[in-house]
Amino acid sequence: MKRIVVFLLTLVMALSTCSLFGCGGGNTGEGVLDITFYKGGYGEKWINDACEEYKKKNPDFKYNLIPESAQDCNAASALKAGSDLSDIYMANDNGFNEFISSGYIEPIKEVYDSKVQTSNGEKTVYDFLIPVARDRYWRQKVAGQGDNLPWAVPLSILPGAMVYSEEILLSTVHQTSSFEVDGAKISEGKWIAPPETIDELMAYFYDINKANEGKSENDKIVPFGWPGSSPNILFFVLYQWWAESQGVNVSNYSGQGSWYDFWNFGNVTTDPTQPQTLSLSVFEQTGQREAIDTLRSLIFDSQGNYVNSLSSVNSTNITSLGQTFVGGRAKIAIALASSFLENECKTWVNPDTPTYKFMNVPSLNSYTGNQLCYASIGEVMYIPTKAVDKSLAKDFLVFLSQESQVVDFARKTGSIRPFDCDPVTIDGSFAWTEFNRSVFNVYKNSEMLIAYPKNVQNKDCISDIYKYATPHMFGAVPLENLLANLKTKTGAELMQLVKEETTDDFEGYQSTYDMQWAN
Amino acid sequence: MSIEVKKKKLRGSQIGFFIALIAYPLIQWGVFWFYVNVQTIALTFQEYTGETLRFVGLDNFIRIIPDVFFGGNATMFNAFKNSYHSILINLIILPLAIVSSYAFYKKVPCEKYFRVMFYMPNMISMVVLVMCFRFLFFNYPTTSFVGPIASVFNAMGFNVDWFDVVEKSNTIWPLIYTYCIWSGFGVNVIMICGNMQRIPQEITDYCKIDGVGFWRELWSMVIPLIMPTITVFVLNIIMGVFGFTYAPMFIAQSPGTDGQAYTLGWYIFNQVANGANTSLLISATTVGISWSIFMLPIILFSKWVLDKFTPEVYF
Repeated sequence: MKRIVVFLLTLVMALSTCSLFGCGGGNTGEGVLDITFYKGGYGEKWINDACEEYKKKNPDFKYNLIPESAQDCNAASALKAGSDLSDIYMANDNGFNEFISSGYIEPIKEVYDSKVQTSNGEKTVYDFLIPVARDRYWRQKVAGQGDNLPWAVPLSILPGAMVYSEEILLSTVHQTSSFEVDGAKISEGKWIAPPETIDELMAYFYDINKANEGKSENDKIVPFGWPGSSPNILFFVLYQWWAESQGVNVSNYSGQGSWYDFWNFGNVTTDPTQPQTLSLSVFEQTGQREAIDTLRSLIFDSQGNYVNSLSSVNSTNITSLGQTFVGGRAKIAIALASSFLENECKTWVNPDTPTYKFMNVPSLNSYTGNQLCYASIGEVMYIPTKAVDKSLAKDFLVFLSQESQVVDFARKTGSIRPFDCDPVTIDGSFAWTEFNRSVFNVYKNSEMLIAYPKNVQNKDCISDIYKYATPHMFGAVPLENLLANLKTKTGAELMQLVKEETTDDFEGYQSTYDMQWAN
Repeated sequence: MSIEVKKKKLRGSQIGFFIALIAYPLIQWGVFWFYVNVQTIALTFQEYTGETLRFVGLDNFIRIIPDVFFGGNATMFNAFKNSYHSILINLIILPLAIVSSYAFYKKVPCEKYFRVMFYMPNMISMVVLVMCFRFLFFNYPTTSFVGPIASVFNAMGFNVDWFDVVEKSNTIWPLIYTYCIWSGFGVNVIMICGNMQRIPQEITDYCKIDGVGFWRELWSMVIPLIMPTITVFVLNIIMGVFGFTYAPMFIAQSPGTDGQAYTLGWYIFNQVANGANTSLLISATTVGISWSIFMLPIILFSKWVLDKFTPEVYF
């Protein structure tokens, strides 16, 4: 009897220890490339096909794909555990800087120095990346010590701008109003091209509202779809207008930094061995105020009531907005969206789905510079220091950076890898959707704005605030309070509040990262 | 007559068996409770400089306590206050559960059917349940999405966006209350019912013979006999503030302006969900430890009061 009890006890203990194995990856052993990736992003087909393509050139190649449901692939837990690690992680860059300074991930300069074939001849991976993505993931392991090295290859770039319904645009009658419209956009009294300036956007909204007069609620067209419950999406417009007003690389206002300067949070140190500086004056940029006031003019009337917007905008999030727009549940003329919209919403396509195209956010009336487009690079590919097949992993990352693979990624996912190539032009015979074509058109013809301190020459002088805290435009003011603040405050008042609310945080950073006040 | 207890010396094999029995749970406790809690507490006295953890004494507490407990930060203070809604929700559930359990104990008609119906919400995935619950109250005519209950209220002239937490909401907490009472009811009923089944049959027979009424039996007989269980329930209700996370999170889906739908459990979840960021983990642990210290005397006092005013019951 006692032996049975002991046996059963041992069995229970053995089975329970299975639950002790960490999740977030897995290692099949040497000779097999283990890739952990976020399955909710681009799916599995593209990476599976890439592995099969690599196998054609390397018949001994074996691979194991491990899909994860979390965007960060639970990589932090796996890296900290240090065992049973995959060879490559394709995940978001949460905690990335900690991974570097803690020694969890491998520098991959060999990948960036490797040559790849492109339509314009052989280039290094570094040169093939678009400029704004090249230096994104380069830094010293410990500030002030050692070489400046790259630690990840960006997986994708997601432009965030607007989509418009082509049917609504082409059927909207242009009315006379106080807003200036380029005559080339109107033909036979109707719109033929989407608005490109704020004035044209306001004129378009005016025309739609005029056309809505006398219609029932269900038949009205919503001029502007935006998600009140996902206020971070408003950065698609705010950041572009802010950059246009402020100056992207060089400030248009004396005594103020440029848009890219903001992201270094007042660090003016050029010697990485010296203490960094910080300054709250980054929240006093004129461009920030102009961007906020521009947005307010589009979505609020003088009494603070919503205009041009969905009636349920406060509880509309980015997913339900996409569902509403693509699913045709409401007629929306223009909506905020990222390049990811078509792929994300493909299950909602139905006979009511409009023909829609990606478009640039209309520029400020006074802006005359390069066309800008806010984009995010948040997904990366990196190799753990304790990965078993590091050489194979690096070689595979180089393979994925080949132009043919970049184009294949675009074909299979409709998304963009941040390389200097136009998949639509390279593979003109592929059945690109109209949305795909419009996305790549925006990508090709716009300067991508990535929220990081690109202007800093010595990457080791990037502010620790950026690396470890990365406040957004509104600092310590919670995004959940953004709409309530936008309703009641002008741009100047709101940024004054931001500066006041963020003071405590900056004092904390000053102490934590041993910084000095710049002014 | 005295009873002598002879102490037997354990044989070697018995000692070995004892160690084998206790070792695994002890190791589990050591790793998953002791080490985790020691590290959690240790984190609250440190800050992450970007490269290393540095001891900072009570700085984290000095920073966080005014924000959370004294209104220094509106969002955090509201999260703290909102967490105590769980006590009120459970205090509403408890008497209803007692009465329902008693009805089942008394074998009212269709008792088995009601048992299944009351427990049904607990058998369905919470995500699915919340989706269905939210759909009942969707009120988006522009997108042809109006739920059945919202339609009824619209017909009565109460036409609102039930899930709007940007404006000051008068509907989000009633919705959370309704959902929590509906979904939490069944578990309480099952547990109280199980306890009532232990009541000796003789007491029930006595009540029948003496003509004790339905409600008199509940008040004078059944409730006193299950008082120890009710005591445990009340203590759990008080401690339940720490775990009040998912219902507000899934129903409101956004903390709302000034955290009007936020709870501290939700805040801690958000910080930890971004597990790669050590600074956020430190914020979460500091809030958690501060809150535990705040609640400890309240819980101990509650236990003392309950022990003092509820009799021991043996049957």
